[in-house]
Amino acid sequence: MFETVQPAIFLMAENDPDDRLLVKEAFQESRVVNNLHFVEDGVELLDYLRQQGKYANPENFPTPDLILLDPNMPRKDGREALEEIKADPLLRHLPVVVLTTSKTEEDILRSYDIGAASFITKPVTFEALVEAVKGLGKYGVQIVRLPSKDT
Amino acid sequence: MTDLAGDQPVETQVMKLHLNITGKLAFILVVFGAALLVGLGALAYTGSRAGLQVAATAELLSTAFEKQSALERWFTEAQIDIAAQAASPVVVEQAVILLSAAPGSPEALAVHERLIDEFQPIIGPEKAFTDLLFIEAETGEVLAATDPGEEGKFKENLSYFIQGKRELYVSEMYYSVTLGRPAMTAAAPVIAEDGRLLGVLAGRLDLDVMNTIINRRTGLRQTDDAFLTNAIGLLVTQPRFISDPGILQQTLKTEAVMRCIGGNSGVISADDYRGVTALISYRWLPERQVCLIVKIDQAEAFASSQSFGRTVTWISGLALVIAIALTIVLARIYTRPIRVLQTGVKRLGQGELDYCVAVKSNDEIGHQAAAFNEMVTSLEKQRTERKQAEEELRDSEEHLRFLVEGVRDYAIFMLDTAGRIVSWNPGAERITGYRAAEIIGQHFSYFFLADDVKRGKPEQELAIAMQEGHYQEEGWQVRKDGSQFMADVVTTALFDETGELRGFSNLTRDITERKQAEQALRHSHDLLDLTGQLSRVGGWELDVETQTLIWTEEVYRIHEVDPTTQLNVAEAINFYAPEARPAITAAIQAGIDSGTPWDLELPLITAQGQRIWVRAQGAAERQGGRTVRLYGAMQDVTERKRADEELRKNAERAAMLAEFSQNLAEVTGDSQATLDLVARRVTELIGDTTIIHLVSKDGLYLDPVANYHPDPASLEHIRELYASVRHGVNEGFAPRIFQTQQALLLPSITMEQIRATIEPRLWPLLDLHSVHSLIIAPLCSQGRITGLLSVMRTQPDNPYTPEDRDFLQDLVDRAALALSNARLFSDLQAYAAKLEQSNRDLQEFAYVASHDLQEPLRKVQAFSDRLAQKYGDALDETGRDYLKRMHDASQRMQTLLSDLLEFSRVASRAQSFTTVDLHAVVLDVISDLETRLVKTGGQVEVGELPTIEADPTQMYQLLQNLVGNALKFRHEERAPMIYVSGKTNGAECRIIVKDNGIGFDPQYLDRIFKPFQRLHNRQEYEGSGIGLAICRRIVERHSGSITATSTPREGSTFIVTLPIHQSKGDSSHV
Repeated sequence: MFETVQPAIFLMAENDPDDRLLVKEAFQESRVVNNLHFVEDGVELLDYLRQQGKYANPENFPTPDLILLDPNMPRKDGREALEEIKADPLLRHLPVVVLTTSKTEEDILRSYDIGAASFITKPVTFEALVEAVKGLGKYGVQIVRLPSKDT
Repeated sequence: MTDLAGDQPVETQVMKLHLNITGKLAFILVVFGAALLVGLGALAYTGSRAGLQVAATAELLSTAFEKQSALERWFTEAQIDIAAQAASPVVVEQAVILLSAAPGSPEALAVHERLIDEFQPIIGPEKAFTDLLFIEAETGEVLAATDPGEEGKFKENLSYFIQGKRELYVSEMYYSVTLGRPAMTAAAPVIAEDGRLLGVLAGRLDLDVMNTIINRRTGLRQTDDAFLTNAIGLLVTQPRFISDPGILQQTLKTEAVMRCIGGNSGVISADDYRGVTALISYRWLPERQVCLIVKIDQAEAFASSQSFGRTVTWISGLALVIAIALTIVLARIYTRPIRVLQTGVKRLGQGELDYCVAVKSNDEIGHQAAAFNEMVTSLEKQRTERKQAEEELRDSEEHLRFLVEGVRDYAIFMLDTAGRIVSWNPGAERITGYRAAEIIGQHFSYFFLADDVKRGKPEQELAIAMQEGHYQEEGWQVRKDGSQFMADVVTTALFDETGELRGFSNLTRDITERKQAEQALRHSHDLLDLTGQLSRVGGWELDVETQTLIWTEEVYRIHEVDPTTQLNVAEAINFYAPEARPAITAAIQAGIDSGTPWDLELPLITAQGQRIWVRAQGAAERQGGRTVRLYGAMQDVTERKRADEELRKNAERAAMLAEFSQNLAEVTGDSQATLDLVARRVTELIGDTTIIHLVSKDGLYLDPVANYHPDPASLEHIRELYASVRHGVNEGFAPRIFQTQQALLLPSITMEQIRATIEPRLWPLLDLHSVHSLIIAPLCSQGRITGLLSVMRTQPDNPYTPEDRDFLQDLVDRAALALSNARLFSDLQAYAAKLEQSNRDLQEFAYVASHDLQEPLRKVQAFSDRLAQKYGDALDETGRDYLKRMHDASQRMQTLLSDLLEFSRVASRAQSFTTVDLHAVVLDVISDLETRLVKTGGQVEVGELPTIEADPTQMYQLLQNLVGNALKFRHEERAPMIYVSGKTNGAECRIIVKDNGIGFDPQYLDRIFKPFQRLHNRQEYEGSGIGLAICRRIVERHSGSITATSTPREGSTFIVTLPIHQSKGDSSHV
């Protein structure tokens, strides 16, 4: 009985287009077979997750296995969004990785406080970014097995 | 015996007599008794000895006889036994057969056997024989013997064989060599029925039996002894006192034995074989040819006589002793009276007349004793009478002498009719200094002063004494040493019964001291008067009985009353102020009733109406339980009272000032609060109301800033009014004060006067309250008048005094100081707050800036990387170079920004101070720099470093930067050597980081600590130049300092000074 490895689905909430580009390229470079979707702020993120608005179609916008979150976004910033996600019983189970630019501990702690699964500091060099993504990819493979898939 | 008289002392004579009587008696008795006893004793002794001798001899003889008989019996028995045996038919029969039988034949053997069996019963111990032999008659061969060893031997030569052939024979005793002991043989012929001689039956006698017989003892004696010798003196039995059996081989040659073997018998006393004298009985037994000796030690024989002798001696001795004792006792008894008499006489001779000779006997001695007693009694009586008379005489003499001699304070002496001194006493010597020896005989004018003598005073005195009977005068006299003394002299003329002048008696007393005392008293009296006057103390006295009151002059003066006035107690009390009268009355009464003294300070009104203070003291003199006199002193203490009051007021003022200062100190820096407090306190201290004005900022007006009135309504009213009118600096009383710079006192002022002084414009202010007295004091700060404080009395008749003005000035000066302090403090606070705010803003800015700047930078780096990666190949060398430069530049910017961030974080990320062990921190730094140390071959030596209060993270940063720098700026030709050490200097510690690197030019010392200031190109050494700036920032935050010294090309030393303890203030300040 073999289960085909289904590619994990990643959702990134990032307002900076450059960062989006770089991450996309990093994923490609790392050859992690994943689907990567983007939203640009907190509102879009929640709409996506609730499959509301323009994200109503689950085919095009499947529920992700992992959320990458930039805490600093306009409209609803990452922190707020994370709070909402963790407050929502339907979305709570979704693991969220917070990508921070700053190494400041305050940010880190705050992130932890509101239930981020982990954090990553946005790497400076592209290689580092690729490495980080690869790490995510491994993480992603495991996610496949989570019960969330079945409900 | 009774020669008491004689030249010899009675004592010795009597003694000798005493001895003679007793001695003689004793001697006679001893001699006689001893002779008797000795004689008797000797007789008894010899008699007993003789008797004993006889008895002993008899005993010996009887023992000897008895032993002899026993021996004979034994011999006889032995003989009978052997004869019987020899004659026994069995034996004969066997003997016949034995003789006829062939030797060795069974027959012979059987017969032999039978013979032996026959013999058995009579041999053996306790039997007569030890063994038997059958000897053949012809050859003398032993054919049968109980001792097999004997068989076959030939005995033909032996006497018992030869004799035994013929008849029954007992041999002599002899020493048998074969047997090894004395032996004796009995033999008998064995004759056949037909008369044929068959042989000889011989038996050896058991001499043990013989031994036994001889040695048998009765046991009654100790030393009895008996033995046998043969004809040559050979011992046959063992003597008692010789234990060696070998003696039996020897002969004994004692006297007794010699006599015995000579064939004699007898008893002698001689030495035995031991050499001990013994009583010896010797008997020759011719039939046996043996000598029997029976003996006993002489000592034992005569033992009883000896003990008898000893007993006799003891008894004699005892008897003798008793006799002597008895004699002595008796003699003493009879000589006692004599001795008693002797003692009495002796005592008499010594003068004891109370001794009575106690002899009661009626003989000559007794009569003598009685006579003696009578004599003694009469002598005694005479003596007593004489003694009494003597004593009486002595007593009276004594009294007289005491009188004269005892008096030491008075000179008592006698003069003859001419005035010459005939007697002297110790008193006279003491007073005048002349001793009796030198003055007696001199004229009594010796004591007079030269002038008096010239005038003929002494003669005059005598003349007067003769006429009047006596002369008395006080005058100066002179001592032996020339010193003068005041004398009180009484000269009395002495007349006898006929009226004839016999002489004079003189009684002189030295009254110099008394006179001096009187003078001293007068002096002190005068002194007292004077002192009283000066100190204004007077004395008084009241006689309780007569109620007479006496005052000294001073008391009159105090009361301002004419000294001649006579006053009584009631009048005296009336002088006191009405409120004081009860007190003084009560005190006097208490003095009279119970003698209680008093000391009071009371107000008094003099006759002139002056109100003064007096100190009245009184005491009581009591007699017989009642007060008879009151006396005391009075002093005018008005001045002192005033002075005391001054002092008190001053002290009060000082206390108030101190309290005021305290209040000011407690007000926490708030200007307004201070002002309000000052206004209130000044009102409370001086009253009745206060108002404070401060010069306005433009210096034109005096603005009211604080005021106080006890009545809140009035207070409010005042405030309102002052708010409405602005008081100019040059109006009212202000100019005067500004000019003089001193407080202005207007003790009494009227409204009109005030109105006259100030502008009409301000007159409404006066409606507030009436002002009767006013003080205005300037508030000075740093030499300038910054305001005015005014106090006002709103009630009349209570004007301010100059003291009040001075007091107020003191208060105001303190207030001014407090105010300026308060102002400074609030200015400082405002400034500090502003500074803090701007710092915070700056930090936030720095943080945000560096944080937000990093984001685009990251993009530049990332995309340039991406470009290089993806499209690097499409570019030529130059293009790739450009890209690299871009990357490097953005890298640098990155570093710069992170350094800047770190720099700003020194304050923003500051932690609170805690205990940091710097030594441990350095070790951490070193371990974290391990890789670089290894790579450079560097070594870090760490000395002692203290533990201080600091921010741990920042300490780490500091030391990491310093050590890191030391490694970074190493000398290329040598391995880096870094020394880190610390030293504590009181409240500070100094940390030194010394290296042997490239060093720096000391002229750039300031620059290296500035942010981003570098001394090298970035090609030479990397880094943004912010490390040391961060170090300085950290150090300054800790209230320390950092500096460095260096020698270029040799090395640098960085010195950090940090306080050991941080203050508890706000630690997050820059």
